[in-house]
Amino acid sequence: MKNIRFFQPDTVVHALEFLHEHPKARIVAGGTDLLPEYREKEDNAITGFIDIMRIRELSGISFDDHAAHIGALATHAMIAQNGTLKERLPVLSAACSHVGSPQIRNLGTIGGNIITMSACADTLPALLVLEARMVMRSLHQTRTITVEEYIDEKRKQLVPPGEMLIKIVCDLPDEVPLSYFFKLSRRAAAAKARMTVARTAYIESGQVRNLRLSVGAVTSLALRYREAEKLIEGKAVTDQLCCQAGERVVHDMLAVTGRRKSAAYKIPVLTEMVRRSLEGLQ
Amino acid sequence: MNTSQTEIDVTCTVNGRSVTVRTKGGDRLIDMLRDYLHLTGTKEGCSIGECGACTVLMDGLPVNSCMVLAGQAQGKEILTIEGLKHEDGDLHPLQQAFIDAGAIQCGYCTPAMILCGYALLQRSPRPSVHEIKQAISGTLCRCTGYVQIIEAVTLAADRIQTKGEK
Ligand SMILES: Cc1cc2nc3c(=O)[nH]c(=O)nc-3n(C[C@H](O)[C@H](O)[C@H](O)COP(=O)(O)OP(=O)(O)OC[C@H]3O[C@@H](n4cnc5c(N)ncnc54)[C@H](O)[C@@H]3O)c2cc1C
Ligand code: FES
Ligand code: FES
Repeated sequence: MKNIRFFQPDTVVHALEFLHEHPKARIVAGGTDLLPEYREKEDNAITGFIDIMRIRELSGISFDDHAAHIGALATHAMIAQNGTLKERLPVLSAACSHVGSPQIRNLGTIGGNIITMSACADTLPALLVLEARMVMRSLHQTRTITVEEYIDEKRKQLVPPGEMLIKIVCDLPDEVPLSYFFKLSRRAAAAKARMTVARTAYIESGQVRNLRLSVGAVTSLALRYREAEKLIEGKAVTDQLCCQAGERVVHDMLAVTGRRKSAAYKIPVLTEMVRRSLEGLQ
Repeated sequence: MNTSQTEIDVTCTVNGRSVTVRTKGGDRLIDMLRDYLHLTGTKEGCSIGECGACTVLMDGLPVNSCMVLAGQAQGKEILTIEGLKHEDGDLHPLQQAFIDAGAIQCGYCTPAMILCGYALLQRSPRPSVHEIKQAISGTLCRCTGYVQIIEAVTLAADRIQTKGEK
């Protein structure tokens, strides 16, 4: 057995300094992504753990007039149970309530979910339609980046090392949009997503405004589907439009993944899931 | 604990008693409980967060003890199945109800199921079947088919509420 170091800083700066001195140490929050990774790979390069769970700056959920500030350490259970989030950001609340099991939701954090960025991470489609921002800090700078931009950095392997996620910021519009979240999995509880659809929109005088649509688990990283959004934006929703949007999403998904074996399943199911996410706007 | 070490003394409360345990940096809470404190009521099934057999309560919330590093338990309050029975050895009503309702077969899931039930009854003394199903949804049972487990939690809630059992 290797000698693994364990470090429990109380401040972000201490954590970042330790990370800088020990680049192969890993930040651990809830541990629900990291511990399986650590144990499953005998030859993992991890030399230490930096437990960030006591850093106060990273915890808690707060609100100002325009935005919700969700600390990186907020657990899925805390987010799902927060009354204000349930009311103002129902799409995120729903996403967190669908993560894993009650035990996993008590441990797993939104920060860990985003940073691991697995294909089936449930919060990502919700954060994409909310156009959520991430506050990232390294020893030398603090930057704010949208979740969508961060996903893009991840895809291009451009994420800088030595950064910590401090918090997520989601705008709170005066009027809560009509929100939809659906996770398709093999069973109702404690199962990974096969597909996740998140959607927000407004309806003004019978027409759809500000439609945002994203799908997780069908591509290696969750995506917004802007072409499908454009098809519907400003129009009154009809059955035909819903189906067309479904087909457009599938088209754009296949452009990313190519036609794999699973396409035979994904094409009809995704078309239908997108259709259902929109039919409620009629 | 601000300096890093490969051996760490973890001080926490386990079943109401304060303990200090010297653990290694890569040890998990389940290792600390089973191997150092010999509290073997907490079971290890999958080791990857899937089965829930290793569930304990940490600050009152059910968590998978295979997902928590021992060092992360510093200062926390841990409750394992061994902490549920009374000082005089009498079983907790949930434990008795599991026996009476036939909710134990091989018993591997039982400590976790009972602790999930216990955490539920703390916040919802008269839970609905739906709430019970939710509460135990992170713990697998390969034997009972769950029906008896749901009955056992309902039975325990009833005995605690109507008969004042503790
Ligand atoms: C049985 C099981 C079921 C699951 N089911 C689901 C599910 O249904 N849906 C889903 O989306 N996920 C699921 N997960 C995955 C996991 O629970 C979530 O992704 C969770 O949110 C991870 O958070 P964590 O705090 O446990 O992360 P950790 O494991 O502590 O960390 C994950 C990664 O993020 C890094 N990290 C954590 N916090 C920060 C930070 N603030 N700054 C920088 N880096 C950081 C760590 O270094 C590590 O690389 C499941 C996991 C298990 C074991
Ligand atoms: S042993 Fe921890 S969840 Fe299975
Ligand atoms: S009684 Fe055997 S696993 Fe539940």
